[in-house]
Amino acid sequence: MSYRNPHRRLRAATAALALLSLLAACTGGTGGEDVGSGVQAGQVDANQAKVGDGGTLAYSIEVDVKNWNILHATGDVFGYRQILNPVLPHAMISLPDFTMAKNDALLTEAKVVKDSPQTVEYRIRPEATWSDGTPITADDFKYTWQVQDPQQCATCEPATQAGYDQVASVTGSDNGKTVTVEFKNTYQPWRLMFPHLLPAHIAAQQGDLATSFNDYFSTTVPTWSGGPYLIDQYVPNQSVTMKKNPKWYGEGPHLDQLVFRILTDERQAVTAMANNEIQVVVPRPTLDLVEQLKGISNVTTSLASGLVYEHLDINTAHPALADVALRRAIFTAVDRQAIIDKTIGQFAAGTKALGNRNFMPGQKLEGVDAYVDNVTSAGLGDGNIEAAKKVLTDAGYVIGDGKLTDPKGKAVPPLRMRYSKGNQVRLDTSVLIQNQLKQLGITLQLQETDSLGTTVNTGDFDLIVFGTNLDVIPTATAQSVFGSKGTHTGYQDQEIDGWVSEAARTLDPQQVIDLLNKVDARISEQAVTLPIYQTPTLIAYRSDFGNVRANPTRFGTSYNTEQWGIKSDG
Amino acid sequence: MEIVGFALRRLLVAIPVLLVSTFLIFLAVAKSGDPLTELRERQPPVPPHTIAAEEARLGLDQPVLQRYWNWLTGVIQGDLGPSVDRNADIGMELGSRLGITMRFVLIAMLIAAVLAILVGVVSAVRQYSWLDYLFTSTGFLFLAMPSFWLAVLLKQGGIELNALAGQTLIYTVGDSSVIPPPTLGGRIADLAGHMILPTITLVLINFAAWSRFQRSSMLDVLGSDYVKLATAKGLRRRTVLRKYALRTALTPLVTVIALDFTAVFAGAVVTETVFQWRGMGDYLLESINGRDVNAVMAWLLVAAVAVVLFNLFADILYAALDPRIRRVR
Repeated sequence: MSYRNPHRRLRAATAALALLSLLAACTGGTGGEDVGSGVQAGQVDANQAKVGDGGTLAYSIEVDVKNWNILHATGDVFGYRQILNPVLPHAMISLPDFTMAKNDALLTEAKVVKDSPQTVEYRIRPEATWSDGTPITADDFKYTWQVQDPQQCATCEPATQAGYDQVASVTGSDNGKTVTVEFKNTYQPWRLMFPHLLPAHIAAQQGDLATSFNDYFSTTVPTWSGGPYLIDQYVPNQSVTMKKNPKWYGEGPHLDQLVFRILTDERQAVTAMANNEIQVVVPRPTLDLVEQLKGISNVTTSLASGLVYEHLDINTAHPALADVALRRAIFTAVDRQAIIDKTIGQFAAGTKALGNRNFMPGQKLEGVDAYVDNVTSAGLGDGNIEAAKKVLTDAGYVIGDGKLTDPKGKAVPPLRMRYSKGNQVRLDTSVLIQNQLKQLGITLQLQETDSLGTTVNTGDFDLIVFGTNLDVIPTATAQSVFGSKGTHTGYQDQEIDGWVSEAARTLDPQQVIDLLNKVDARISEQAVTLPIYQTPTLIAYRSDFGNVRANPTRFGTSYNTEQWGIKSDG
Repeated sequence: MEIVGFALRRLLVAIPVLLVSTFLIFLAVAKSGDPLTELRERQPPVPPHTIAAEEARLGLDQPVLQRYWNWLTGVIQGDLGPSVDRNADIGMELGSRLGITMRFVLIAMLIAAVLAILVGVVSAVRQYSWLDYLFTSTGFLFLAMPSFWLAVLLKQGGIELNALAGQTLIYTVGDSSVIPPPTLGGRIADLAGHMILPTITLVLINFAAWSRFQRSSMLDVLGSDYVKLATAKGLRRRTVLRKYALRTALTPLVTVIALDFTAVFAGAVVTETVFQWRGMGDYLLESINGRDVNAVMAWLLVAAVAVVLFNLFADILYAALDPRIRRVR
């Protein structure tokens, strides 16, 4: 579901003014070569450059850190992750092209060494240490597992337990440099685990598991590091300044100082970028922001397709919508490309309608192509009104006088279309769908919600438009969204339950892809969820900095700060 | 003693006003949405026991009236309640934010007051001259100009100036550079470079209204019999203006400035957002966005106390100047 709050301060009132004044003064910029030329997934080699040592870079972040433990439920915030990525060591890391890979700086190997019981072995580089010289070992993996496993720590408050609750044991050998993780049951998305490690030797000085995890790591600004940078100074509500970690065991880092500048209003980041007070910003893309950033000289702006996708869902528990024919007709009549062209297409030209609910275009699972268009092939989402009318008339519906009557002669009642309060794009999407469905005699009553989570989870909608954030390995998400226990649409399907369970227990990537695509095809056939488009991610950076690039996965742009630096190759 | 009694009576009247206003605002904010929405919407889902623990910590598992009572009794004992931000101490946060806001609000008010007096007096004394027309039209221009518009224009001007100078003299965000210059002179220039735009914004907006008020007040006084008499008796014009007219004409402006303090405080919300100063205004917006009831209540409590105090100050000023007010029961 949507991660980011769609509100923002005084945005609507001042955006036009800021745009006007900026455009007036900043015409003739040279940035923005990537915007508008079609939006693709992030690229691992974008802005790749030789960089020199030295310099300072300020990255604008929208939130101050209120919880320093990004594994904690209230600390799992995109902005916090951006700040702590350079400090915490990563065993596994998600890359801009949606792949999950071992972090070569920390590990020499991460692989399944036994299928049953599934056993994964991680080999840590001998030279890898925390900033105080303590080696990074299996103890750190064990602590990170224990605080996220309810059986090991019932009162710990982690952001997720996924996978960790499936672990039977974590053991170390070879002086703790080889970590062996044994699972109780086969856990397919094991690569998603251990993206960040916490220091066990520091935790040991802070009481029991819950005390160290919930309290100490949450409230204490880290003075330690297992990554390329070490926090030098934190000024509440203002900035986090980092210096090089002298005990860093990988290549780089190049910058002398890395600053995370807290700017709570993204629009102000534009002028700060123009004035060179910040050098990197990753704002939510809007037409205004993209245009403003493109207008600044010596700034590169690029859009990348992300892992969040917008979709239209139908509540199958509604008496009228329980009929699959009506649902199919609705999805057949919705014109997704028209929605894209009138909303995000304004700034992300070339965005195409999305054809899958589990995989994104170009996505691979362990090198195997995963994306298949299961939506267009089912005849959905192309705005084909005549086909939609035929679906209805074939099922016995009657369309007349702008009204739709069901096969029993009963008028189809007006349906409630919910969207997030303050989210203009979703409102526009809802209005467009409302107009498209009017041609079938279906009346939509638009109703905003200021608590999307509650509205979705309680099924308090007939139709709803919102976003879902996929992981680079989507088995867990598929289970929670389409499995019977998690479905918010009221649609339950025992075959789907079987497929998602099997996918979660299968280590063969091709089999996982096939199973999840079967789920996707079934959801198309039953017309429960209609994917509309991938939400683009926007990044802008001063053009003289190399290796700064969009990473639309959970890791975000700061996944490779050790590579950032001032370009030295001209 | 009469003034002390008067002040006490005014304070007692303020208590029920504060109670009613805090109750209404608490209800409004508590009903505006769920502060744990983001947590509930997370993918993969946050464990239910974690959400339950947060609900218990914030008291969201209790009826809203009970929550208000808990807040009220807590405040009386000096406890402002937990923030949605787990590690935030609302009292500490308010303290630092208040200091940041006061830094530029007080300086801006002082400059605006001095400018308003000068311009108001010159306008009145040279009524209908080209100078008066210039000041009048300038005043109306700034009066009509929304503060965010003015702030954005000033920022753009600052960027242009920096481009012309070839170095950063004016900053557009924050109250100081993250990495301060090594020398004392550099630090002073850095602070000034950050302060200049927000201060000018607040100065221009307030100066405009106050100068119009000062002009009008000065014109009234200049037309009064005792000023005419002083002039007729042959006193020097400068003496008449300074000792007789200005002193009297200042009194209403002082009262207006005291009452306007809260308006300036509120105006700082926009200025702080545009210039990214982490002051009281920024805290209010952040708290409302986060549906952080206790933080919003604490902010409003500070604002309400400021309103009461400055109204009281204005009343006392009146009472001190006009004994008839003190005798009114």
